Amino acid sequence: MAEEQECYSTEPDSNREPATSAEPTVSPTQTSEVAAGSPEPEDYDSKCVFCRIARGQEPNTELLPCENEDLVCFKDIKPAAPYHYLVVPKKHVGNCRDLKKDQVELVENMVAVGKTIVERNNFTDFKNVRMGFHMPPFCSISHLHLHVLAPVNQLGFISKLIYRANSYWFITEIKSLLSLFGGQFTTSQETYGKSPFWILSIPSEDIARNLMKRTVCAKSIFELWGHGRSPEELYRSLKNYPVEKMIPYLHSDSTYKIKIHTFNKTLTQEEKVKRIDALEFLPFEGKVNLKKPQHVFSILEDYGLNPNCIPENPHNIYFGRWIADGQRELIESYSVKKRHFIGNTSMDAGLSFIMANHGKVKENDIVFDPFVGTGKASRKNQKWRGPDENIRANLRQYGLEKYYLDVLVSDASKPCWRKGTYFDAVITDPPYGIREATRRTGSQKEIPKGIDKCPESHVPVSLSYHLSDMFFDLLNFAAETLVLGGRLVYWLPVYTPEYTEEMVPWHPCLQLISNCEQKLSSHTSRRLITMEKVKTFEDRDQYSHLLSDQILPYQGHNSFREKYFSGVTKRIAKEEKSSQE
Amino acid sequence: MKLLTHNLLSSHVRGVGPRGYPLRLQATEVRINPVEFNPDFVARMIPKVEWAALLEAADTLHLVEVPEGPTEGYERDEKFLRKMHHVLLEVDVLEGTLQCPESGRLFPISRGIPNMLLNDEETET
Repeated sequence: MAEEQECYSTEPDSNREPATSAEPTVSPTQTSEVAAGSPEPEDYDSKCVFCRIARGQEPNTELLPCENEDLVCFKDIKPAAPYHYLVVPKKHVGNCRDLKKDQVELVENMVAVGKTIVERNNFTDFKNVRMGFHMPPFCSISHLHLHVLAPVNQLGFISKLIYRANSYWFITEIKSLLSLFGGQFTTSQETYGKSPFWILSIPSEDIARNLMKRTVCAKSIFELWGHGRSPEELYRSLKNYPVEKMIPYLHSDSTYKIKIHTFNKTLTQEEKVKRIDALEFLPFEGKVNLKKPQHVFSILEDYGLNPNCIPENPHNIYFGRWIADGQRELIESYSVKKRHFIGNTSMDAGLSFIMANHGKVKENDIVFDPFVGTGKASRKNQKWRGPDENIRANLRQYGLEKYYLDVLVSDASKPCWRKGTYFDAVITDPPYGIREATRRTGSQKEIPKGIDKCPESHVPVSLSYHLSDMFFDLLNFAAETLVLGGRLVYWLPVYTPEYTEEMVPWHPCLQLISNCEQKLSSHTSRRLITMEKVKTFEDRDQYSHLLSDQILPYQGHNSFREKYFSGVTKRIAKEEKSSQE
Repeated sequence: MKLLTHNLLSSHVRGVGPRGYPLRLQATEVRINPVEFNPDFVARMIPKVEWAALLEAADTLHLVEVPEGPTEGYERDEKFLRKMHHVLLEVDVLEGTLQCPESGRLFPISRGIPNMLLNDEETET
């Protein structure tokens, strides 16, 4: 079972927010003990009762045994449940609002300790345990403390997603988006690539909805009420689902509808009705409304991924309440087929959205594309720059012209920007040298000097530009001009038989976040590389790659063009050659 | 080419380095393009702007009402943000040149697009 954790408040009408948030803010009721925005508040405050308890200075409070040295655990003096404990870090950490991303581990440890305590009291049914933080100003004490209550029915959401077979995309895209929204998620299934369904725990329904507003990989998200490998298991699991959590959506004033969705199999109308009828034991009290129901529930049956071998019975059945759909219809409305201007290498709409999500692009970000062509990915709330003019027309077509910043003509290997970090994301698809040869400016021979007047759109002599050089230039450029935490997303063409992980270009300032493969042909593929800037750029960093051994594996890719054509039929090779120059 | 872009561009002629900034703007055709006002975006751009370069460029274009610098609490000052929005994003240079202050090299702006490509012998190795 996926474990659940949630940050909540006991007041019914305050917002639920995830336990860690990226922005530290000062709570209005804070005492002077906690400093907002500074990395480390004082470790110990003798005025704070929890600090004193942690140091064993309160004789009336007994400390329970706790494996983790940085945490202590004790009973709450005003228990709200038969078992009510508090898990508190020894160091004085402020309240829930002041948490930062690097304190995620601390929070995870606290949850783990909470669970151990509960287990020790012979409580294994985690559905009956509630853990959480109070949000200020509803906090009693400003020292971070995790409440652990049992047995109380849980608040958290388990959500479920249907997604397409390109599963690895989905997971990395979803991860990037979740970190953008500050949501923590946990997943207990090892179904990477094996199933279109994915169960995860998300702290709140709002985060789930935000996620679905951005993603193009996920089809829908549901609140999971039960699941099993057979109908009987499903019904048992549904019977175990706490009734109080069902009631708000089933009461007599509401309207609802039940749908069935089967993956990889078609059912007759009769079969569908049979399955819906089998759920009569659920306490539905509202009226059925097939046209515009308030709540939609779905039965989802998973018949595997092989269309040639459809089993009699489903591998998995799920039942849940529908929350939101993903943005897959954007792929159709932004399709390349309908675009006014397309170039040789216009990017598929779906992939463009995925790239934007990997780049964690948010409102009012500045995004730079050094190889923009006809403006493939300028669709989310972004601002664009790069070398070509037709982008503006494309953006106008989509009604997004206000997001357009500027274009210029330049050589990406010779950046013309003043020193500084101004881009929030660099998202691009560099030329691979197949349909459009890679070139850069430079001279091969001596040319007489003396050009005083303005050259007027001079196109200089071009040198062939080795692929590996280009990627290093790209990484250097990104490392220099990205803000800290900004992302670089780009495609790396590889010759599959020779590919190894070491070939992915690296840089001391950039950390590799993900590496997703898309097959292009039997022996070539391209990988969507996402990197995040974690270190400020210093001048010597631009030469680091010369000192490393890792430059060697990718050098081989300089002959990517030859390799691309090897083993391919002569006809295709001829086509490629004729579309060059 | 918008003034926001001009503010970030620098000359990369060989040997010039940081003295290649700011590029001197000379415009023969300018257009004012209305752009939807987005206060959050403008507020985010203010810290990245090099004011001296901006004022110089605005001066050569004979723009009026250009703020001298960021005021205290500019994020909430709508009048200030609207002025900056106009200066940075709505003024579009269609034809003109950018000149490197150190070497004198001219980069053309044509149809609103600056061409920063260098000649063969000017490229830095």
